[in-house]
Amino acid sequence: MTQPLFEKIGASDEELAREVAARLGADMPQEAVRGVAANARLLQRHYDVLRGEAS
Amino acid sequence: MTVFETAEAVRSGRLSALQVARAALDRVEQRNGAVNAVTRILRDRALARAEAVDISLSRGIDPGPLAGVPFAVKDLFDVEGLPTTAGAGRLRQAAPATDDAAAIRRLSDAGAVLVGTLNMDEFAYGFVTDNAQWGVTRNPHDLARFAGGSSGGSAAAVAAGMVPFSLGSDTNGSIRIPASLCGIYGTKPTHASLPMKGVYPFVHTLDDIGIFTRSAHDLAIVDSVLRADAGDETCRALQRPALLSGWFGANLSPCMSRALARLSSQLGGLPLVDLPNVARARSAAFLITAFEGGRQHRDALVADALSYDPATRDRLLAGAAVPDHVYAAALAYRDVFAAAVDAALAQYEVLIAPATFGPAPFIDDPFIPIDGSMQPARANLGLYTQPISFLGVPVIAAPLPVNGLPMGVQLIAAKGRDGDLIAFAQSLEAQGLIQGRCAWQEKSDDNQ
Repeated sequence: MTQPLFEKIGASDEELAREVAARLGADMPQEAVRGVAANARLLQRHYDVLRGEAS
Repeated sequence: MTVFETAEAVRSGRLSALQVARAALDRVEQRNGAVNAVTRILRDRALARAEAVDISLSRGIDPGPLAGVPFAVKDLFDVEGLPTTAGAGRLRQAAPATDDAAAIRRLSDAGAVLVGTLNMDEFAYGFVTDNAQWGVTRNPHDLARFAGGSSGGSAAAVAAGMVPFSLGSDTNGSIRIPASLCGIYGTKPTHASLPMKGVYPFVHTLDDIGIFTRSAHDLAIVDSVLRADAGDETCRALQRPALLSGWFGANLSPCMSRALARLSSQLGGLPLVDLPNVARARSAAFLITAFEGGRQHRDALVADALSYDPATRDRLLAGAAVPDHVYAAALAYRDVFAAAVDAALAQYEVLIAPATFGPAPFIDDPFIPIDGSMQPARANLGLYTQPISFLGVPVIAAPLPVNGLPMGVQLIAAKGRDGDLIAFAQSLEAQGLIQGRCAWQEKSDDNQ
């Protein structure tokens, strides 16, 4: 399986958004948690496709 | 009137540039309320520039091939004295630009008259032109539908007949998609072949400025001015077109499938080319965009994320966290895919593909069908443009002559063949196989 873009890709929105925030060295605004998590998962799907592991 | 007709009328003295500018400003006033394409009307500047064109003519000086032609630009071009907002409310109070973008200067030096700036998705990250600060730009052919994006204001202004041409920018399809949905022409040139100075960046390896017009002939005129080549007489229309299949034949609406089949038949039955691994190419483009766009905005997001449009903010935040090795993998795959496309373009001079799945989606139902499920239009209208744009090859979005809502195709050529590709579009236009549309002209015809 492809190395995940984010360690918390299978976790809750809050945990995934917290990981994104940690990489940026910033706090994640509560308003952005759901959207950031959704976009992180979308990027993971594109990475899987790029690696030839999804269609 | 077209670009060509307007410039001819002004240069011959049949119309003054001032008359033309006032008429364009009147059209903007009359039509923009419905369409919401124009964000700033530059009345004083336009009238002053038009007067200068008339003074030049009165002194026997030719103002240039765009004498008195009104135009407008996407909100990410620097306009002297105005903040460059890139469609972002957070930049509304930014320091004003100290000069015009290089492209605007070239057009102005050729006699063109800037009349306004145009709506876009915030920071060009979207395919619909639904802007949190300036609102949604509506399709002039059906006001309940999107104009496309991110250069939606640029397409809608031309399709509504406010101006004969405009400038936009295209990173993943931001010119080709709105051009297609609005029934006009749009160009994504060979990467970095048109002047980018004074253009707000989004994804530097993919960004290009381009042109919207209602005729292929007009594309040639404006493109020539932007390249400062004074009209390249050596252009020859490309030959040997082929139709992209596979990925580019899937997920199409029935009306787009029929239109492509008709075009193929009219061109004598186009050979089919099935490029390998297009899905991987699109994903590579998606990841490059997320990475570079995210890095571009990282510091500002960390400082003040809530000042962004939420739909843009959340995409940029996630993209800013994409690691370097993922970006490197996406760039590496681009080279692999480019080799396959180069091989196809060695056999066929033009590759033809749909620009969108079909006509413009409804604003109140912003989804499109992909592989059996409904996906957000804002992120997915680039299904057919994204795999192509990250190669840096020239592409023209060309409007198909359909009876219903507008749809267009991409005409794709090898790098550096921009002029020959425009000549190819002109030859298709002369045969009636592609045709630009002005929504307001159609509306007035309908009312007669």
